[in-house]
Amino acid sequence: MLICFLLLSAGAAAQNYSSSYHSCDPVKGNWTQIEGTNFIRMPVISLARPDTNWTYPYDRHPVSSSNETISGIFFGSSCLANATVEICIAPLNSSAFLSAVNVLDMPVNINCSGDPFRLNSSGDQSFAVPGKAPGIYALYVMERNATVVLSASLIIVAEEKITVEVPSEIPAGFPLEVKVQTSNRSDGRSRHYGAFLVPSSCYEAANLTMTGNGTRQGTWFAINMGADSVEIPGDLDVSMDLLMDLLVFFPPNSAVALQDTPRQEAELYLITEPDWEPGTYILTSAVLVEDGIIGLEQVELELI
Amino acid sequence: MKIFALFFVLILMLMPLGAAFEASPMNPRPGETVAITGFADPGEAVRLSSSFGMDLPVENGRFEYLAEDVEIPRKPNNFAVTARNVESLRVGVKMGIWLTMPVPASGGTASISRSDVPSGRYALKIFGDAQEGASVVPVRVKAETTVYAGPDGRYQLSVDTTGVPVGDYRIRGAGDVLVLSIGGSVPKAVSYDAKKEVPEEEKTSGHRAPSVTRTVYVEEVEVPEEEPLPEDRTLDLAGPISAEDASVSEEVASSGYPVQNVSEYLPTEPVEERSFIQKIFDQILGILGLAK
Repeated sequence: MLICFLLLSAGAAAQNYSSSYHSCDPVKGNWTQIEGTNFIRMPVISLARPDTNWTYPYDRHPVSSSNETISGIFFGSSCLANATVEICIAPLNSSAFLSAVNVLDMPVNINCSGDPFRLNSSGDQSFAVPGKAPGIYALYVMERNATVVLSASLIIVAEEKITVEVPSEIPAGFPLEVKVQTSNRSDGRSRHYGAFLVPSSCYEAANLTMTGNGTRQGTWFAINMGADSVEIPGDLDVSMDLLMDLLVFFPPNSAVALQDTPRQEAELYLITEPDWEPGTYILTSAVLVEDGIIGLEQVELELI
Repeated sequence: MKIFALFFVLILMLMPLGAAFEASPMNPRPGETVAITGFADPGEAVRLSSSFGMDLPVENGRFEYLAEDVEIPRKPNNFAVTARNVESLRVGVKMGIWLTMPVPASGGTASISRSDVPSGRYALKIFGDAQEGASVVPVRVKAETTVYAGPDGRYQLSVDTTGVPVGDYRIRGAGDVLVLSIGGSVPKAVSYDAKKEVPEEEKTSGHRAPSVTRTVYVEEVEVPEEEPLPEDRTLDLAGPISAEDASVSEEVASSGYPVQNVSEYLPTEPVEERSFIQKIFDQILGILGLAK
C-alpha cells in the first residue's frame, strides 16, 4: 500500500528547486529518518538509472496520526556541516516528489515554506515539526538561501491509530479472524476495510526498483520478488490486468480480506492453507474512506 | 484433497429449433473434457446461463465448502450465489492469493452477483455461520456467459468436468435431450433427477460432503427486450435443489470455430462492472487526487 501511495500522487506547486543526489549511505547521503511509534515494513526501494542510483536506507516507515508531531533526523553530507536548512511538509505531488528523489529530471516544484534548522558539524540534525491533518504528504529538506532540495520523504498521516485484534499465532489451514476497530464513531462514510497477510520473508525477497530516462512516460516501477517481476508504467496507467498480475505476483501463502461497511469496526477473515510454511507472517490492516486514510496498522503473527 | 462439487459446469448451448446438437463423450470420466457441438447463425452470439444448488452441512454452527481448480470463463460473464439459512457468508477466491469478501445477509439469505470476473482457474471457498438450528445451508449458483458461432454457424463447447461431481446431467435444447453420465458407465437417454451423496473418496478431510441433488437441463429462454443481442439464445441449466458449477473460457479451436470451456463458477459481489479490487485501487487514487 505504501508503494501505491508513493507511486500515486498529485497536488499543487509553486517554486522550483533542483534536487541533490543521494548516496546509499544513510549518514552521508542526505537522507531523512522519520521517527514514530507505528511503523510499517517496506521492501527495498531503489533507483537504478544509468546516471544515478540509490537504495533507500530504511526498511520501516512510520504512519503518523492526525496532528501528531512529526519528528526525525536529517543525515546530511559532511559538506553541509553547520549549514542551515529548511524543513517543510507539503501535500504529496508525485512529479515533485519523484523529481526530488531523482526519478524524474524535472524541477522540483513545491509550495511550502519551512522552519530553519542548523545542522551540526557532521551535517546532521534532529527536528520536530507540527503535525498535519490526515493525508499523504512529502517532507522536504532544502538548503536555506539556495534552491536545492536535499532530501524528500513520504509522510503518511492517518486519522487515527486503529485497533487490530488478531491472535498471536494460528494453525495453518485455519481462517485468520481479524477484528479492525476505529475509535471514531461511525459517521456514515463508506469505509473500506482491508487486511493483507504475507510471509515475513516476502519483505526480504521483495524490492521496488525504479528505472527510466527521467521522463514520466519513460519511467518504470518494477516490483521484483526472486525471479518474478511486475512492471508498473510511470504514467500510472494501471489496468485491471495489472492488478491481477499483482495479485498473482505475491507468494501463494498470502491472503487478502476486504469489506465495505459504514460501521465502526469490521471482522475480516483471511484464508490460510494447511501446507503453508510455518513462521512469521506480517498482517497489514487498513481502513480507507473516500478522501483519506482512517488508519493503517501492521502486526506480526506466527503460523504454526 | 479433492472436493470439487461446489460449482460445477455444464454446457449451455442453445440450439436453433429443430437443430441437433451432439456431445462427446457421453460418459466422460471426471476431469475429462466433453465437446458439444451445434449450429446457429454465423457469428451469432449465444447467451448461456446455468444454475445449480447444493446443501452444505452445518457443523458447530458453521458451514464451509471448497472447490479447487475452478475455471472461470472469458468475459463477458456473470456469476451469482445465493445462500439461505445463514447468519453470515464469506466467499474466498484464490486468484494467485486468497481474496476473501463478505456477502451481506438479511433474513437468513445472502446473495451476491458480479459481472466480468477475470477469467482463469481459481480455487473457491464458501464459509460462514449458519442460522441457529439450521442443519444445512442451501446454496444456489447461477452463471452466464456468451459464445459465438463460427463463420459457418458451427460452434463448439469444450466442457471441462474437473471438479464436477459424478452423476448424470441432462442437456436439453429445443426438443433434444442428451444425458451425460460423468463418471458413470452407461449414458442415459432420459431426463434425470436424482439425489445422491458425493462419494466418500471425494470428501475433504474435516468437511462433511454436501448433499447434492442435480437436475440440469437446457432450454430456450426468451431474451428480454433490453438485452443487447437480439439473436441471443439462452440456455438455462437449472435444478430445483441441484448442484453444479460452471465456468467458460473461450478459445479458438484449430478448426477456426469458437470453443468454450464451461467448467465452474465464481461467486462474487453485487452486480457491478468494476471489481472490488479495482474499486479499492480507485479509492487510493481518489485519496491521492488522481481519480480519473
